[in-house]
Amino acid sequence: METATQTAPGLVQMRKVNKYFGSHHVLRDIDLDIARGEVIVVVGPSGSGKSTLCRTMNGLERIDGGAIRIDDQSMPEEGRALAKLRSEVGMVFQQFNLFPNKTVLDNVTFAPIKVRGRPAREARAKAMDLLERFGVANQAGKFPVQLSGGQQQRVAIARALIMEPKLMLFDEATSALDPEMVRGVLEIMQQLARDGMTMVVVTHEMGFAKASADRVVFMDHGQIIETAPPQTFFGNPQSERARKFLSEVLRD
Amino acid sequence: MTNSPIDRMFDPPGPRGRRAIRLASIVVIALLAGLAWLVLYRFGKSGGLDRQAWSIFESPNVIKLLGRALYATVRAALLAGLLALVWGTALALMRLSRHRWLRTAAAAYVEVTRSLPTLLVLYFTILVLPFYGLRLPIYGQLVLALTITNASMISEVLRASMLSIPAGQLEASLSLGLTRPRAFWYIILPQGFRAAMPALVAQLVYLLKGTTLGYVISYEELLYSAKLIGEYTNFILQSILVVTAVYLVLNIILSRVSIWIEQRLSLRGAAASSKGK
Repeated sequence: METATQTAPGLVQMRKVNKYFGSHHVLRDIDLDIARGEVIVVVGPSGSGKSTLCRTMNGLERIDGGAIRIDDQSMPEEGRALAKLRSEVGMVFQQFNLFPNKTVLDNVTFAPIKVRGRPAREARAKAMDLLERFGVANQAGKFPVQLSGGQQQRVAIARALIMEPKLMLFDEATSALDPEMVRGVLEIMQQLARDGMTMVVVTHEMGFAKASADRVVFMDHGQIIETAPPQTFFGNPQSERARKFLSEVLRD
Repeated sequence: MTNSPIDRMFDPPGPRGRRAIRLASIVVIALLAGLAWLVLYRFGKSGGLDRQAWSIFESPNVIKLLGRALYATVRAALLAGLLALVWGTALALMRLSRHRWLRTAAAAYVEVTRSLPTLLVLYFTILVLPFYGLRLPIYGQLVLALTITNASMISEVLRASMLSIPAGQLEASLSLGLTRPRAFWYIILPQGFRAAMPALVAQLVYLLKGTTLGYVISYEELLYSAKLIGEYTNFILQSILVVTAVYLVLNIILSRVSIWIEQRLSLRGAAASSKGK
């Protein structure tokens, strides 16, 4: 599988990526290839650099060394080129980050209209399809504060998906949700994975990793310690640190 | 009653607290009533409340003069308010720019103009601008001076409120493919305006009161006209009291409008919720 991704270039290529916050070395020599349609689940203790890794893939975090290529283009550093790349990479945040002064529908149609210049009618129809699919169509006229966390996150996923991204980044998308809301959001993510979306998922939900990941990436102290298919990673972790991490998160 | 935000800030008073509050209320009301009586008594004793002293405000000429003065005040306040909002917004955005020189230049400009009294700026527009061949009508001079000083204040208010918008809003806008300037324009600025509404209204009230400085350059606004009427009729106190009432009404209107706007902004959510259910 590794050789196959090298001959046909993957969607994401990270080479020797390094990142510092001040003197804190948050990403250390990250090498990672992600094939089209692949679902990568990034796990690791908090502070291990998972979120930062995720955020470098749409340039929300600028890297200090190494290179990132997305769809065979190197990551633009600024301006319109970077904005264009971001419009093709969807991102879902832990805190949803819906626009509080816009209705649910306007949140979803905002980017197609303002970024792509699509006609409002077309954007609305497409948005309603997505909201329908995610079971929040009846909330279209409401404002985000009036929705539950789970509903807000589903709207946020719709807002990202309407741009038809080639890559979806989920940065702890279920971590801020009440327990009973988590499943609905995870089901949508699993559906996306089955539909062939290329996804990078930073999560603490080991169940999702087992069910939907093609590969699990285990990080600690800014390094990728281990990359393996979920059966291997959960059944037979190679590194001591991964074993320790798993024994802690799977205890309950 | 217990739902008012002020009540929620304190423990509800007990029996002793309630007694103390009642006593304090009675004392304060008695003091205020006494003071009001004293003022009116002295004023009336010197003939201030006589029918004749107030009859000047029945004269059509005086009413016309006051009407024109009201128009002059409102006209200057409206244009200066509008320009100050526009220029203040531009300054706030410049101060949040990523370009260091733009940020520094805007910051320096704001620091200087913010600390200048409007009267000083007014003298500048009267005395210095003509020196450079720029001759504005007095209306323009007043509007310019008010715009310059108030725009800096407004820019500071807006800058602070935009900085208080959670970083996730900018990140979400950027990750949808908006460039940074457009993200600020479409997402951050509108939210900043909303958060800054009370402070902005306070600044606009301040600006409205600032039009009285037109007095110095013989711009015939309310205060200037009050003085004119007073000198002409010898009832200066009465005419000042009348324009005081006019200013009071103007500011009440301004705060009512702002409350109405704020309610509309939050009602939009409530209305949508009843529709969605």
